[in-house]
Amino acid sequence: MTKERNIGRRRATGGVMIALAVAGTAAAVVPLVAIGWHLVRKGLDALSPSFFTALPVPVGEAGGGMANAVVGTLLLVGIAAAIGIPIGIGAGLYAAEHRGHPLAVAVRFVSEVLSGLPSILVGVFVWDFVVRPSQHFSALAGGIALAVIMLPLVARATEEFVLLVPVQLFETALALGYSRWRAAVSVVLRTAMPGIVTAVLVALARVAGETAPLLFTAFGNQYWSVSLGEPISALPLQIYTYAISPYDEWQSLAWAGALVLLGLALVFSIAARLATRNRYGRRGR
Amino acid sequence: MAAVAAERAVVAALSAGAGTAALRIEGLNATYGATRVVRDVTADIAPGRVTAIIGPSGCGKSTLLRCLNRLHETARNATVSGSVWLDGVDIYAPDVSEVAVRRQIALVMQRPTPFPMLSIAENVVAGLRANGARSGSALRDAAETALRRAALWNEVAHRLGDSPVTLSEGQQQRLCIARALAVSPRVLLLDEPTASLDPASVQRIEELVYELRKRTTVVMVTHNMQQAARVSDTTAFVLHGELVEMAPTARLFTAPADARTEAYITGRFG
Repeated sequence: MTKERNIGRRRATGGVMIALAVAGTAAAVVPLVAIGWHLVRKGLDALSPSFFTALPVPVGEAGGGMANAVVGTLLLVGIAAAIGIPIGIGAGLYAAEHRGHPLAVAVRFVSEVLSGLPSILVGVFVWDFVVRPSQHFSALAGGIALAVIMLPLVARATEEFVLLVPVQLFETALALGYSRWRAAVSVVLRTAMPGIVTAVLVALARVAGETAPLLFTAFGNQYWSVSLGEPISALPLQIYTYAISPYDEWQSLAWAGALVLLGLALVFSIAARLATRNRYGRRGR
Repeated sequence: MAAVAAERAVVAALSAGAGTAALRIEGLNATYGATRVVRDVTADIAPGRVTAIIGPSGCGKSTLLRCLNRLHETARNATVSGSVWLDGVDIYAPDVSEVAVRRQIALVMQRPTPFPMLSIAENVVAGLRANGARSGSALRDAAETALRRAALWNEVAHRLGDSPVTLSEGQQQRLCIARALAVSPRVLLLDEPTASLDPASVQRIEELVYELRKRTTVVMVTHNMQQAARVSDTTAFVLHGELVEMAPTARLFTAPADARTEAYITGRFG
């Protein structure tokens, strides 16, 4: 008798827990699907080939696109990657290889603080150190601001993935006559690489969507520009400008821009997934 | 039959070039932080022989081994003093580079450590590549020779491009031995190479070690006294970082000179 009652109670508890788990999953997935669905519905209307080929047009004119903003975002992310990836990986590798050294501790601490810094402050910082001396808003300043945001993300991830590589692999390489430098780069770093590549792609997706640090660095531009020394447009900036405007055409273009930005983030995520597959077709850690 | 003959020919050709070397350890001390792990060890290791180092866990036998190719000093807070002579050259002399030393004296770890991002074949020649070898065909030949010497060739010949992670642990360990042999070391150090393996794999590696000594001086750390008795010519007993006794294996196990050795081999401690 008591045994059966126990089983009944256990089944009830189990059922409640499963319901809670399903509810939790739904709470997490529903907003994501809702955002995606909303963006596709609103954005697809304004999304046409001309979105990627045409420049913005004045209010009242039909058509127009965000070609300059798409290219601008790619250029800004490119600059950020060129600066942020090598420095971030270098700093992370240093912090991992010299664990406990005061400078390594400092690198780690600064990375942590920097990754918690509001992105608008990064914009202010770059404005003060790059824009003001050069008397110019510029693509370069925007790229530097995004690089500052990427840097701690890449450095922390590199350090963590490098620390996951067993020290015996490093020692084995030394025992085979590798120099320290070569063992660190071609054995340790290479073993950690799938994880680092994932982190880099996630960081790129993150900075591609950043608006605040670009406000007073890249500034935005209604015209075509690929010059590093000139203000440049970026998707988030253009979305911001268009979304707060009172004009229907602009607002619908902003939706399209948001959809493209989401697509870009998706491309980076898929690339990150593929990168963690090693060449033998299994998933990395 | 033809294949076996061909294998013998390859091995014979290789062994002509690879010389064995003697090691002389003199007043060697090693510390790890504040702990003295190796205390004033002096010993002669004969060329072309298998020397086993036995002793209870934590007695410093692995550290002693790691001092023989200057690997111990790469750990944080680790120091070494004393000399180790490789055929008359002190590997701790100020003008000797530790990288050059490790190319002569290879070490295989306790657990298999294949490089997971390289294929089986690339693993075998990784040491050669790091030492500057570039030629594709020469590397392929070297890989085959080393794999044959490590008695692994027949098991992996058809899948040299696969990941080493697909091999069994025993095969991985033989792959690591092949990788160490590929750089033609004059001394091969093995740190409990069978500790993590199943009995069949242990036997294969013991047979391999027995074969290898014809061409390479082998120093092997083991906590398994039967293993030391089976494969080694000379056995050294280490206790609390000190070399208690070193003698021909048969004598050490049947008529030990030191009371502590006798206590250990008869199972009274450790």
